[in-house]
Amino acid sequence: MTLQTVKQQIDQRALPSLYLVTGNEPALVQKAHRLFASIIDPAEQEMNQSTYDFAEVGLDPILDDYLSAPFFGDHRLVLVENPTFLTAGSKLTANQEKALQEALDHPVPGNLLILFANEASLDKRKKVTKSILSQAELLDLPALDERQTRQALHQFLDQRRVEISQEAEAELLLRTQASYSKVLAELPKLLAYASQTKTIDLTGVTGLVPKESTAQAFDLADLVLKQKKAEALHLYYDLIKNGEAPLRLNALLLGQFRLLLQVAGSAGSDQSVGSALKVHPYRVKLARQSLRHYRLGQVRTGFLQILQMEIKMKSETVDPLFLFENFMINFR
Amino acid sequence: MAYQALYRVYRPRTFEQMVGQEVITKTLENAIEQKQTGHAYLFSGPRGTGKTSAAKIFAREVNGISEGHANESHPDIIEIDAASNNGVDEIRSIRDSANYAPIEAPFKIYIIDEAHMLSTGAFNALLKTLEEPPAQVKFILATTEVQKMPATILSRTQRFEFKRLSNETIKNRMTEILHQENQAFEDQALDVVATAAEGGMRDALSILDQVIAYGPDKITLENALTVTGSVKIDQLLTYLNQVLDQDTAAALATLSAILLAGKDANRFLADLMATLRDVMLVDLAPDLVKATSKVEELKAFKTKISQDQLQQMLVVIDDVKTQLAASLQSDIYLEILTVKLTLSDEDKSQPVSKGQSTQTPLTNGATEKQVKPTAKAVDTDQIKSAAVYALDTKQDTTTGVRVAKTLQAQPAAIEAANQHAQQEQAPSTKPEQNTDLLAEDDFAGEEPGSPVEPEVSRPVAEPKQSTADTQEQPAQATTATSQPATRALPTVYIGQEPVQAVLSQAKRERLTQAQNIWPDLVKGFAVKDQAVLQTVEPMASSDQALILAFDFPAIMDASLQNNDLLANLANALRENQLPETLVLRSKDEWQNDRAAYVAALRSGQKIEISLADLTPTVLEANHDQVAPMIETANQEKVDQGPDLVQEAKDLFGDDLVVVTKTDDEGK
Repeated sequence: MTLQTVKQQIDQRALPSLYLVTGNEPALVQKAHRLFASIIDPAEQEMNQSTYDFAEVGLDPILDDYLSAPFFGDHRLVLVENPTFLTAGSKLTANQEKALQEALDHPVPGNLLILFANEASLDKRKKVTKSILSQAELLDLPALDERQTRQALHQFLDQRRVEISQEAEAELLLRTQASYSKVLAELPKLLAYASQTKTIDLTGVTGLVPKESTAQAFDLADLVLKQKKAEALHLYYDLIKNGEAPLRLNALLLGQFRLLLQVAGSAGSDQSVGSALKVHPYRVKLARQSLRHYRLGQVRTGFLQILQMEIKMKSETVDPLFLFENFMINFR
Repeated sequence: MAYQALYRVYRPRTFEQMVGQEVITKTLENAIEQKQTGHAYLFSGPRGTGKTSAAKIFAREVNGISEGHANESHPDIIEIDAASNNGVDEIRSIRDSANYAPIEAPFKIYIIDEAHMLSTGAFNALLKTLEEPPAQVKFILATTEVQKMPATILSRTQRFEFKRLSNETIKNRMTEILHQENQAFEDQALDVVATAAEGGMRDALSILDQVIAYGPDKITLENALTVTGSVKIDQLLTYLNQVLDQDTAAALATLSAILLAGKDANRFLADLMATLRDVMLVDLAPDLVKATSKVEELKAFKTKISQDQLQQMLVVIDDVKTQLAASLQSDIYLEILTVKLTLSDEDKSQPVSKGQSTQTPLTNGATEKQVKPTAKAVDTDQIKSAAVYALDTKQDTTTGVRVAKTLQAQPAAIEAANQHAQQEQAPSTKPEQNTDLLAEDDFAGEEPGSPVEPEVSRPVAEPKQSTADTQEQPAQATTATSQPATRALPTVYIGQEPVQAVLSQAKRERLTQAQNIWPDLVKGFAVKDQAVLQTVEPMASSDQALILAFDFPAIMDASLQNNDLLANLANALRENQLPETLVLRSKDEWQNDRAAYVAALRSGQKIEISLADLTPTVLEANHDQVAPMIETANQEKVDQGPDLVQEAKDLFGDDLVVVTKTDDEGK
């Protein structure tokens, strides 16, 4: 089920007693939080809504709360973060397990137990996991892919009557790695920027959305391969100025070259390659795009030279900046 | 009023006054105007880019405090320096006090500077507050090192990244300030200051302050250079120019002047490298050059020096730097460095990149040995090419020291050379050529680790190198061709292609024959040669050629130099009706080659390389004997031939060294 169905359930007051929320899109999970909170009247929230971190408090206070009747109201909401007892990580005692099962089988009417498992990988062989999976309403909130993110972004901006230029949108997705949650986090700034012009332009995005260092390594690798030596040197300097450790930069650069080589050597959809290489499919897509412009031999040489650079950094007392300059100037 | 530093006087008080961060200031202003400010901000960026100023301005404007009160402290704007208040307790007290309503203004604003200095516990304590802050509270964190901030903090704040200011922005701002201050200045001086500031306005103004203090009347270029320490590069450039002009004496004098002035040897080397780096970058990224004032000089220097030369100089300097670390005699090393640098510039006409220079001598060395005429016929073309090759090789020899050193390694080669000398009428040109070439061979032998590259089978592999020497070639060729053949040396191939060629026509019975005979054959050799040959195994054989695999590449290389051994081997093989043509390979290479061959066969590829199509590596080069020592003559302008003969005798004993005739130093 989706957030939409949850909303309907809430509107129709047809609420089950147990929800299990999974998925790795933080922004949507937050939204689910807010949605569930809306079940309880704000005035009652103090009494009838509580959030527990299972890893910190254990099961007992959660069950106590869940089994108490709502205090002046129709519902009592118990939100549980980190339900690690559903994973291979931790275990309930036999008594706890029994008590939990009992509580699930005979819930206090109106009470809701909501487990936020999010990214945790559930151990489906466990008895307790099995029974919860069978009894709970499952709300899965997987990460939005690039297309969905774009769509959500447009929807968001349309509602506020703000436009975004095409290159600004591309840059925004690039800098946030097309992650919906990250895009959402950047939007308040961009909206404030565009509050007069009602248009988000490229200057705004480049000036306001910080680049992750992985994205910058991507840029750096790009500049290196495109032989834009001056730009590459400038970027490297800026990164160092920003306090990046040369060794880390080198590792990122190496990783990017490696990714290019890996992507060049693998077939399949962006998704499947991404999951095989354990990188975001968007990065695979970008790598494929850039691979069209580079000679593979060059990528390979670059990879080896950067590797050499790392060895030198670790074994000699050479200024890393100097090493990079030297590499950059001689790389072709 | 007491003097106030420029950067304090001119600290921006409104968003309009902030330069270089227009997008950020505009966004913050808009947010305030629309009353849509967030509850937690993170300002990151290098120092001097306006983070703290922006935080202060933002705090005032959110609370509607006018510009005039900028310097007064306000009870609801609380500034904390996390560098000195980094514990959990400080953050807890913030958390507690955050729960009280602001006193005068609409918002209570905490500015936490250098936020990355907070301890982990403090971060966690802050986290809870950032997550659900009281409605009337805002946090502004400022940091220079955003990568030290936990991700949990980053995701809960609106993050603004302040950019390094461009030199132009800094310069414009300085010009503005100096006009306001009624301070005279030279425009170029501001360039120097802006570069030295590396993108930070505060640094720029501090340096400017110092320059003013140094010469209050006017900000001059000279003063700016003195304050930023850019003057010393003059001497370094002089030194480098002298080195490049091969004016060793002058360079040494400059060096001693620099050292006398009290400069540390390591410092000198570091500066030297920094200067060469500047040279390297001067065309590419002029604004990254450290020695801004000398851009013209650097450019001039750059036109004089090739990229490869520059690389070589850097390598030499780097070597010396390493050596220096293990020595107390720093001055001597620097003097040696000077000499080395001047000498290494010999290559100017024909720069050899580092990768090449390690490889080519090996290749040449291997070839050369084999350039001896076979007993039957002398292929003049081959000798010619070998002669050209020999010349190429010499490009890498620069010092007599190396000649002497390498000589020591190859007594057999010398012997062989001398035998030739007995039989041949060498032209009356300088006989040192002979030793020089030998030395080259040995130089090749010095690199046992490097595998022999496939190009080896093509003697004139590098036309570029050969042509560089065209003017010298004719002399060489003629002298070389005048050599009569004396001794039967086998034809030797190295490289992968010959292996494939032999494999494609391999005959099992031939190999069995060779393998059976081999142990006995080896026994017929002198003990030292036996030692070598025992590490060798026949691996495959066709009717024409035999593949021998060596356990150790180093021994293979040495054997290639060892004419005696090869000649004896050829004899022995002929006596046993085995093919005289040899393909030498190290065992590892052989394994690879065979695997490659098998793989190719499996994939259905037909291998049609025939040995005849490949140029053998070995033809005997008798020009050992002959060729004039052009290089030595050019480079060292010293005739060191007799010394070398003497030296060889000293090293190997009189009975081993048989020096026969030659015209100018008959023996």
